[in-house]
Amino acid sequence: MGGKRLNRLLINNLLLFSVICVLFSGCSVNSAEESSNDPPYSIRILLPSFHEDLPDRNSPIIQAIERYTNTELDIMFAPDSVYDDTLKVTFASKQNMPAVIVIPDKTPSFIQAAKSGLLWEVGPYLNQFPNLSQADAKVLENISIDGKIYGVYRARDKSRVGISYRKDWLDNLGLEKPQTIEDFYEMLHAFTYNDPDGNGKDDTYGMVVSKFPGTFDVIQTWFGVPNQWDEQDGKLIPAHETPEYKESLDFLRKLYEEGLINPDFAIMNPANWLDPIVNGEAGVIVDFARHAARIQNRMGVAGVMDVIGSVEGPDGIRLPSSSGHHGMISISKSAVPTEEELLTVLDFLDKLNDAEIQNLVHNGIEYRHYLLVEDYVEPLGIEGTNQEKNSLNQMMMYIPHERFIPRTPAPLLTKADRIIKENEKYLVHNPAEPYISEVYVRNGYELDRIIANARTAYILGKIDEQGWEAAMKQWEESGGWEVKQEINLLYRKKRVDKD
Amino acid sequence: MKTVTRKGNYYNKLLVMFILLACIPGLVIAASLYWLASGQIKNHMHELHQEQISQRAENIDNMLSYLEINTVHWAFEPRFGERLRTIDFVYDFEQTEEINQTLLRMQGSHPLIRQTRLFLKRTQPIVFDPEYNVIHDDALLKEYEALLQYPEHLYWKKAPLAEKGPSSFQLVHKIPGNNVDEAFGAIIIDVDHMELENMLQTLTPYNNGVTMLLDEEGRLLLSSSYEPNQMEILQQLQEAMPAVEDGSFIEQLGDEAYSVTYGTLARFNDRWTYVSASPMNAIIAPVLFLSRLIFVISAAGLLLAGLLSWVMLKRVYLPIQQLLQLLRFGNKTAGQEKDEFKFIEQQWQHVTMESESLQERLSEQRNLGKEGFLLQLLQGYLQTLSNKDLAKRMRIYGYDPDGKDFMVMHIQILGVGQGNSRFREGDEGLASFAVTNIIQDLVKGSHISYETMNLHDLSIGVLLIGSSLRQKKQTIHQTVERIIQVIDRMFQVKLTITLSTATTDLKEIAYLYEQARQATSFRSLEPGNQWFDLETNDPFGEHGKVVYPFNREKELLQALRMNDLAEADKALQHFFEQLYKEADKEIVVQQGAQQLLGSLQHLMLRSQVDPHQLFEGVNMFERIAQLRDPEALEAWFRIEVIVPFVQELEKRSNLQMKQMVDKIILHMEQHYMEDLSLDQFADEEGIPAYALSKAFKQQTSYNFIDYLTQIRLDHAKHLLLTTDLKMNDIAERVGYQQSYFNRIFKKHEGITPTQFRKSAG
Repeated sequence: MGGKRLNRLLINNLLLFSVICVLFSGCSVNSAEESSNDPPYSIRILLPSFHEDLPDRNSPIIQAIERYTNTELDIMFAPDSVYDDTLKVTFASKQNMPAVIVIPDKTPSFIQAAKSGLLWEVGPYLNQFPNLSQADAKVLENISIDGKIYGVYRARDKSRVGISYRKDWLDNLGLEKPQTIEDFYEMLHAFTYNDPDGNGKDDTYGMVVSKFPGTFDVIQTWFGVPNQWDEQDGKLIPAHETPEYKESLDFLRKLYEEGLINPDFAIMNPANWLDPIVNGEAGVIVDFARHAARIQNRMGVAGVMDVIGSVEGPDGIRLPSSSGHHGMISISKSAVPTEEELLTVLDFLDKLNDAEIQNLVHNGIEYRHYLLVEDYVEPLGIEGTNQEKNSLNQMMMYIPHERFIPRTPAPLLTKADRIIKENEKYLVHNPAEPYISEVYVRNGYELDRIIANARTAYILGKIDEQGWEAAMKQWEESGGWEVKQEINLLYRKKRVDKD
Repeated sequence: MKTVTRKGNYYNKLLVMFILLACIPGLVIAASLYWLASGQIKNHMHELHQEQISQRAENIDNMLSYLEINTVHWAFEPRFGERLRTIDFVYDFEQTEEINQTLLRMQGSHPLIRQTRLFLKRTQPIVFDPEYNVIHDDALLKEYEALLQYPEHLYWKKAPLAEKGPSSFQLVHKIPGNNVDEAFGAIIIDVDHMELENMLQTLTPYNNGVTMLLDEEGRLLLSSSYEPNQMEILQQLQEAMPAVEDGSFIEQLGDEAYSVTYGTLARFNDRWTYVSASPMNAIIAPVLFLSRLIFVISAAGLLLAGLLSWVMLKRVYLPIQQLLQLLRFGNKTAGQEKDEFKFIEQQWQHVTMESESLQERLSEQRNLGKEGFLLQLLQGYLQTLSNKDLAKRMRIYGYDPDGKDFMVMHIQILGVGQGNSRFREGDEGLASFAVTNIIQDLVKGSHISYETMNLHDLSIGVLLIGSSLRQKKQTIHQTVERIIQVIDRMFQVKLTITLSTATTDLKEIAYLYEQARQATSFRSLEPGNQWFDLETNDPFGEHGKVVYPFNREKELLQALRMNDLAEADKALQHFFEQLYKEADKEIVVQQGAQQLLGSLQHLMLRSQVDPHQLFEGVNMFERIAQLRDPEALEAWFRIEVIVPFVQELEKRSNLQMKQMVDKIILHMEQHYMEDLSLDQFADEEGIPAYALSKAFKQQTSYNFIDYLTQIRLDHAKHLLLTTDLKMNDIAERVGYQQSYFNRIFKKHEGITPTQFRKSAG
């Protein structure tokens, strides 16, 4: 057999072999995906979660959002309890960051990340978008770091507080609804000592207070205490250093001493906060205005609760304003390298504020998650569909305001909401909100605890005025002094810049 | 090859053999792999699985131990010490907060912990969950107080499996941590049963597997699944369990075999038993897949091997097929039903027989062919062939020309039909044949290869072939002399034998033969046998005086020109007498005769006689060559050449002459004014002037010149009478000079031309 023949034989066999191979391997045909005009933009999102059952890619709500925004969403949830650690790890990984990161708080790790350029400064771009351009300037200032805005804030009502009280008790006692601090004290006193439930037993007290500091903060504000910091003669001073603070502290101490509040307020579990009212032990709670409706709902009796916004103090009606945000949504530079892509992501965030998406995330899909009854949402609560929207509201910003369809309103809720709106007129802002003190970032928890513990101890009578003074001194020595210096430095700088 | 030719048995046998050979390795590999997979690997996998389960169980055990150790550690912390009996939690709200925080930290410290609680039995019973709570509910209080009733200081409290859903696991450590003082509270660790279940599930790494946790009494604490059918499996397993602490076995449950691994998790106050059951199929799934894969690959290999052997066989079978095709001799279906090689054998025998018979026929034919070839060779018809081709053809006829000498012998038989020869006139063919045979016998005796050729003209050619023939000259000469002796004795005819020189060059043979043949002409004219060897006696070398009787020839030609037969006959006789007299060799006579014939033919051509026509196509020169006897030659000339020629000439001359003279006269009438002469016309007509003159006189009874003069003078007279031309002009117009015209006119007419004109005028 000649070389040529051998070659031909070889070629024949190779051909045969390859044919067989093809037969065995089969055909793998890639079916091209249908593409719209623009391919969907892929976005990875990190969210804190408050549920165990979380929506996945199959969630019709996520899919609806994807369709509406022409994106492909990869949503990663981290439990709220570990979210801060998750953020630390995320910022440390730098190159593998998600595109969109929910920042619940101005934590040191976030500030560090923002300052080291891991996150986009989005401030200059916001006015290009229909919704984001309507962001509240004050809130934007509040979330800023060194005057730069590293995310779109998640809007919250600046004050949701109100005074919820037993209207039937008030009626029983023939009292009018309180207008002033004195009226308020009268009410508590009557609820404690005048047998408001008329059962002949001394089994009631005025106001239930949990270890959550909010209640006292609100009451102190009535007395003219500033919202954390006060502006006096071109200087910022911490609230506890004002004379109003001391004055309000005495009032609170009186409430405790006279037994108008629950004696274990310092350690009371906030989870059980409403229980004493529901059980008919206490008559007042100063916290969310909506509590009135909740309590009445739990009591199952109509007309027993009512709610007012605030009472008048020496300086009129005053309410502490919250920062107006619940953190923000930041965009990482590693996942979104170009300005063009940044605009795409901002466009996505902007669209999340559209009424359709707000309603989708808040209420779900009609007939699947809710029904519309006379233009109000009636949740269906079908098992298996609830988790489809769980925790998704964490990525909502509600700018410029909430647009979802409300639930069928209860009269008390409507009233609470009206009060929340009215509150805005009486808000006391924290003038130091935009300023970040390095020392406070580091030691804030401890510093705050010193004052909070001292406040509680003073109310409990554990310490006297000297003790209070000592605590303030301890605050200064523990870093409070530096905080004051830093805040004031920034404050002055800002003022110079302004002028 | 478009036509599908059916293949025979041999092909089928080959195909089967090839496929078997190609497939055996694949089959062996597949079989051994399958054996390995199903036996060895399966067992190995099973062992691995058990090992894995044990390791994972150990892991769970470690996790639980770690939890226990941590709990003990916490219980001994001072924070949970005696102070808790009496502390005012409100007043010391900071410490309350710290307890709260500690419990929270504990809760996060171990994945199995769902909740940590601290129960304190005081006047106002308190539970941190991890928040501070006062216990108001009596039933709840009783539950907590019951925890303190347990004898152990640290113990696992578990509730048996509920109807549906897991039992609750709690790890309880009484405080204070030391065992001495009376317990006033307890740290309660609620185990996250979901996590525990997940951990338990690691013991059944496969779908369809089940795992369960049993307490000391064999009650089910936890199961990886609460599906009814799997619960059933668990129940069956529980019954099948041996009473040993750990081990494994294979249990057939329903239609599936399960590998069951079990072992103990020793706790403080309890022994838990884990039981893990995995379906064997799942464990060995990879092996099953592998063995299936091997099977598929082997099958594919078989297929491939089959295909390859088919292809290979096609290649290998191709020559056989071609051979078959060849042996079928165009009959496409022949022998299909037979084994190929039997068919081939049969055909081969057939062919061999055919070949033998053909061989016979061929050898018959070859002698004839050989003779023809030799004739062609000797007579030079093959001169165009190269030596190589000649040698090749000689080999075909059975000669071996390589390194051989060749010699030619020419034998001329004389005297047939003369004297006392045995052969009569006309017996020439017989004579040649007989002599040839005798010569063959005689030469054969000389042990030299030879070949005789009867040339059928009373001559015989003999080709001698042998190595170094020159050295055998003596033998050859003896043989020649014997031939002469024998032939003379037997037939009384004379032979002239010429031996050529020897050569090794095949092409030279023809020349040698021609030389020998010609040399025969150099024989002496004396009657009797003669032979020469051209090597020693070169007849061409002798240049004798030219013997040709030119005078006699001239006489003969003259006589023929004159058409005088008697004179010509006499001249011919004289020619040959003189030729014989002067010539000593036959060749000289031959040459003389040839030359004479040439001269005669020349004369014939000059006389407008076509020799070819006259001799009726016979080649007269050849005839001369055949006539070896002088008398015969002379007679032949007279009868065959001279007489026919003279007769022809006589027959033609009258008519021819008349035509010629008429033509000349016509010419004279037209061209009388030119210079005309008899010689000129004779030259034009190609005959001697005298012959023309004679013919002219015969035809016109005038001499040529008189006739011409008469024509001219007639014209002159006419001109004289009819024109006014001057004498000079008229003389010129009729071809005379004036002076000569006057004279000749006067001579013929008696008066001068001027006078003639006047007289007529």
